[in-house]
Amino acid sequence: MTETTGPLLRVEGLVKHFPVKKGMILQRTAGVVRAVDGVSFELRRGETLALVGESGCGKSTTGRLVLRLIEATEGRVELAGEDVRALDTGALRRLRRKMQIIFQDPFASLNPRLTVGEILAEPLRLHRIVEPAELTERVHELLRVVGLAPYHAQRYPHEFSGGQRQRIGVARALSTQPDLIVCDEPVSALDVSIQAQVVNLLQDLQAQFGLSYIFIAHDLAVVKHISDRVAVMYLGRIVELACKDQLYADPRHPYTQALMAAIPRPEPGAAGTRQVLEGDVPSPLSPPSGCTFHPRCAFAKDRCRSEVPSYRRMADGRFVACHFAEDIPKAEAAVDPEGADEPRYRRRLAVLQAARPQEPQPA
Amino acid sequence: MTQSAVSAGSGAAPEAPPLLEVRDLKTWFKTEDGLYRAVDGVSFAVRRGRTLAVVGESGCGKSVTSLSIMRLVPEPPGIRAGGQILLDGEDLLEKSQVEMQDIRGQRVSMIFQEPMTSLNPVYRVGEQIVEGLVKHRGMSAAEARAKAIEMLGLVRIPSPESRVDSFPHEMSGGMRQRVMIAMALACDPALLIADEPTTALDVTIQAQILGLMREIQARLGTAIILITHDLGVVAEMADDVVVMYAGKVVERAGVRALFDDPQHPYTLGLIDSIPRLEEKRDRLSTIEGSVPHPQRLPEGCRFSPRCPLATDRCRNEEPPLRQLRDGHEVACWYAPIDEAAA
Repeated sequence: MTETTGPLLRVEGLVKHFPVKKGMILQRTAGVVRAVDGVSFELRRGETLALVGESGCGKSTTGRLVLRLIEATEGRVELAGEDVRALDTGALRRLRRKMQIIFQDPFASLNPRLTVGEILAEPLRLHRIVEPAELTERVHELLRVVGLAPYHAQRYPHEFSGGQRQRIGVARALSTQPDLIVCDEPVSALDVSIQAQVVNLLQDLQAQFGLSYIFIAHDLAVVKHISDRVAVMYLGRIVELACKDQLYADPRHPYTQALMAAIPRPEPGAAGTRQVLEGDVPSPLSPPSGCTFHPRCAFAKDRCRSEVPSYRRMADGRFVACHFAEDIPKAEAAVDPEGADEPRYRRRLAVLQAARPQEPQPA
Repeated sequence: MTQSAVSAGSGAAPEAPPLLEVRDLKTWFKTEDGLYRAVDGVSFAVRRGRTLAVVGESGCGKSVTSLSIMRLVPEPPGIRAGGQILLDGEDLLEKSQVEMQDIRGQRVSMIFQEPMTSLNPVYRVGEQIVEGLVKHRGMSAAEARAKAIEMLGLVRIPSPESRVDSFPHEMSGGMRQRVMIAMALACDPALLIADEPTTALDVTIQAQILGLMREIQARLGTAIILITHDLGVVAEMADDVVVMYAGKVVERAGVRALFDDPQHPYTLGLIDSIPRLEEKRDRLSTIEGSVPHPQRLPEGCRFSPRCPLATDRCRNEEPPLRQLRDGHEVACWYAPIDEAAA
């Protein structure tokens, strides 16, 4: 890897169509699911780009296409200048060292019959990253890096809690010293207090090792804390891609606005005023004409029903796929941004936080 | 406003006795590895037409509490180790399973997290709604079908006359959850237990379902027990809140009081660890450590190993749930902590 300028990852016009077969013996193709339908973005070194959207929007498929865990139908993926889709098996395996993935379900993604030490040693051995004599030492180091202890190497995945298992998944992804990690809903299966631990860990590791993340999630509040830029997906396309601050201050695509409004907020009484998006996500087998969001969009006009909006750059630098992005009224904030919290709550929290560092942390 | 010792309410009409009162409920499990005290002395009350949220992280006993009310805990390994569950004054823990069959679906119904696994895949949704109506209400098949269509309309399923003949797999996740709600409410139960009803759904669909539940409650006056881990959902739906940790109630309050004036260090940590849309901090707060294993529960306060304020007293002596002010109870030796620390 010689190229250090320019983006780490470039994705251009990525398309994945899954054929739908009918019939048990004489199969014929009955249609195609347009899971990913022309996705383009860039990822800089040390940056976190979030892909958000509801189930079926193609965010996980995009993550897997980037790693070539599934083959794309069309489009180009470049990692540090190398064309990922053109590589043969051997070259791809070598490149995989540089791109890793963390899965949503820490229960399903760790082999239950291997000890944690064996799980972490496997990629080290496969990619010949360390000398066999140094394997144990390196495994222990990885465990320490993710906040576990060396003695955990002897244990099996089922002996760990969900949060700890996700730490093991993170350690495994780190073991090959990657440049890019695709985090596929890494905290969705965890309790809130544990979720915060893992989000903080991912941020620390990024600062320490200069990692780039593609952070796939459906929770816009979590995404706000970890990402630099956010791409909102709907039915296989990016509808809005912007810097975090731009996107959250003033979402321009009506779908982004609806997604933000739908999040239940931990403030009693905040729910009353918001606009609820009607209907379901349409089937990707037969997406609506024109803008695929138009049947659910409060601002849809005739043009939206007939003409697919182009994915274009707005004056403020963000990308959006909406004919009327400039004219959509600003979404009303359901809650005032700062200090809705009661002083009593703040005061107590301060007491807790002051007490925190004095307590020794269990491993 | 009068408050009985176990009322969780604030602002309900004083003369209305609670519809459901859970008193010192203990549901344990006897397994090969030993005794799990999954629910260990839980008390709360729900009034007609109101929503009580039971919040906590995985393993806190919130789902076992709801299954205990429905008497759906398999015995063995489950043990009814103590307490009372009073529905209109009748103790459900004393009922036989045959008596419970008349109560379930008719007076108390439940909706589950995963609508796909709780609907029967080989029956049309209409047939599944009709079943309860024929059994509990003694309706004829035609009456029951008409009622099923009416219920599907009530939960806003488009063209209910044709959808009544759909199979569950022909519907989206949000629609299936609507069917579950229609089925649960068909016999007009006084109490609906919703166990993580929107956890498996996307946020925009979640918003639809929560809105629907609020609307139906306003129309039918159903009491709701909402089991959830999501404090955002709590803030939106609940009148009263019970916070559970490791099988115990650690705090009980009206929803406003819980968010504005949280007392227990666990509640504070929980509220603080939610990422919010409208704030700028870069780091999330965490509660260090994890929930204790049910067989290795710590002595004293069960939260003490994770609590930054814990002292020897907390580690040795279990704090009782005590009333701080009207309708606000907490199980912490040092509540309110800011005044204790001052």
